[in-house]
Amino acid sequence: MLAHIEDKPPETFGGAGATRLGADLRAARERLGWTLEEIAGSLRIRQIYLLAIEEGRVRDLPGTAYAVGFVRTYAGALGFDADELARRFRAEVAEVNHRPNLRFPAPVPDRGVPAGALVLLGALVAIGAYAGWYRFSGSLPGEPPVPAVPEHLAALLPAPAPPPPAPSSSAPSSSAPASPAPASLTPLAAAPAPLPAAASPLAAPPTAASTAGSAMAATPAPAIAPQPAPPPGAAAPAGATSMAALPTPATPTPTSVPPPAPPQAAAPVVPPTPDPATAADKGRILLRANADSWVQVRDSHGQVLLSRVLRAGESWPVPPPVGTARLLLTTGNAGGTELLVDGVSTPSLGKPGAVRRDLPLDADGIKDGRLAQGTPGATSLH
Amino acid sequence: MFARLLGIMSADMAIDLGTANTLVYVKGRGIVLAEPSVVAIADVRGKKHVLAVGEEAKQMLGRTPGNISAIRPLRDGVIADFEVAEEMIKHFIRKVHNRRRFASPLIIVCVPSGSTAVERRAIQESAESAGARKVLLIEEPMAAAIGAGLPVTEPSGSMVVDIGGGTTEVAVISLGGIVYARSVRVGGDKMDESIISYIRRNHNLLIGESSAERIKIELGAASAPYHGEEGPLREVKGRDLMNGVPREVIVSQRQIAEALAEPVSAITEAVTVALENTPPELAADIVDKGIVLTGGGALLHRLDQVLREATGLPVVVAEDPLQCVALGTGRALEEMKRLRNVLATMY
Repeated sequence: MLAHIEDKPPETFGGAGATRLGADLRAARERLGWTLEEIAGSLRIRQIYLLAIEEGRVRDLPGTAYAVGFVRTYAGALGFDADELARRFRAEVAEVNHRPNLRFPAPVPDRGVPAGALVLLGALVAIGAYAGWYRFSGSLPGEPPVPAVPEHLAALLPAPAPPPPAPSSSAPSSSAPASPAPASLTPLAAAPAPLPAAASPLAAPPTAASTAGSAMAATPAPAIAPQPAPPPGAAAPAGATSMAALPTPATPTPTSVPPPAPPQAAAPVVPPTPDPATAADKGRILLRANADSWVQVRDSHGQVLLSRVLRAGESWPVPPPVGTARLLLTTGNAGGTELLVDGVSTPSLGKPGAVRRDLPLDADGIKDGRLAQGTPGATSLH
Repeated sequence: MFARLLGIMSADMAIDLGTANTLVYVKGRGIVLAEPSVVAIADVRGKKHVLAVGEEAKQMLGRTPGNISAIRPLRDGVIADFEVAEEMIKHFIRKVHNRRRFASPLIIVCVPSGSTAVERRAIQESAESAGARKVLLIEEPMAAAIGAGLPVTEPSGSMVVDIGGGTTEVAVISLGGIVYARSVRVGGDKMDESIISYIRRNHNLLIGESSAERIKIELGAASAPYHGEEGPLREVKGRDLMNGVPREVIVSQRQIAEALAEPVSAITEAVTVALENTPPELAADIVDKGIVLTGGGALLHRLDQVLREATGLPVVVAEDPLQCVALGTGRALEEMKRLRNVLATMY
């Protein structure tokens, strides 16, 4: 072991100082006539460490604290002043003065999404959500809303119009002079008709949920003819052929006969009957906002025609109702919403900021000022 | 918030709250205070006042009139008198801050590894009620090893034996943690008691604690001098138990070594038991590097030699053994971020 160590080139630190101290120790040991083995045996310090001290190889010692301790012990055993030798050792070997760098073993940090990235992602999502909300909520006033609904209605109206051109075109002309009362009665007279029809088990399957009485007249003409007759009472004897013909004596009977002939779908047949009424209502009602107010107009089937905030001064022509449907107005600012019938303003709907729901939009009711009375549920028609 | 503000105005401290001596290390300044852990309390018309702390109070130990009592608030490394300990810490905080008011420092205090949770809490609470903003605890053997400059964080075993006033801590440390620690309540105080009882038994002379301590420091040795010599001689004064008059006797180092045989063998036993409980890999490291002695007890003559013979391992005494714990605690204070693993709190 000794030979192996002596083969290595002596590494010295701190210049000649360390070797001088080591040489002094070695000289003292040799003077006392002790071998390294004897010293190692009595001091229990390993021989290689003693040799390292004598040769000034500090790096071979286990650590600075131990190196100084070994030097003290060795020097003390040889009769030196241990503290003095330790002080010399510290002075001569600069490396000994370095405090050991304490680096505690730390657990490897968990690999996850870094907090910074998470925060950034969250901020981006928040900005995106805000931008989306701004875009879709703020766009309503921007888009041209007023023409949209009439177009939608116009697209719906002309389609069924062609099949019965004669009645629709002739009806307005004939019903125009007539008072609006019978015109508005037509849908009502037709409405009770399907109720008993639906109650009768025979007629129920073919009618389904369709509302128009004319549809019944079209499909099972002979079977139903006697059925609707009893409920309307006085209207029944007038004509068992069609319900639509009953309430309007002004309209010529021949026009009401053709509808049964073409067995079409129920929907297209519906418009012709209320047509006189719609023609009368068309363009009569104008919804105008004096202050920003949210309004919703829907028909009695639940189809929403308008639902947005009308800006102050903005107006919206109420389209004529389709078929038997009635148009209902709900406003979030009754005081800021005004209804004009035939260009004539009507009494206010209520106080500013008051909410009115399901106001029936029919020209006469408005004109009579019934809506202004604050009885939203009451209609002039019941 | 307020505490933090006060913290800026205060110098953080590391305190080696020892049974015999208290050392105070101040951040950036090093060890600024080393005083005996003694407090003299005066009873003035039923009210207790601190009369003196430290060296001055130690002079009064055993020499007090009825209205003054000189108290050592720590026994066996832990607090025996809570209020007096608090007063002592308060005094040290004031002294370090030059009696400036509103000092609220962070304090690291070392505790014996064998102390119970109740004892640790007592130390922490006394430091807190003395005005500390925050109190952290460090185990004494770890502080001693850091202070002695041992490579405690390396994956290699280091054994440190810290012989303090009240306790002897034996610990094997590796990778920044204590692998095995053993604390025996034998230290400088027990040695003093052994000397007192030896002199009373053999010379019929009753001596005081201070005299015993002086004899221990001057003559104390773990083993008798070689070749049957008596070693150096010292006179010791006390009261004769036979006729009650003061008397002086001469004691030799051989006699004192004989007197100290019991506490020394207790320390030796603690070391051998610790070695028996050391995992083999770490034991192999200790065979190479040996045992480092710290604390005031390490200054006992030939103690390293006795331990060397008992264990067959190289035993070295650390430099400045009295200051090792304070230096280690101070280093924990200086490098608190890095050494936070060794610091603990009871809350």
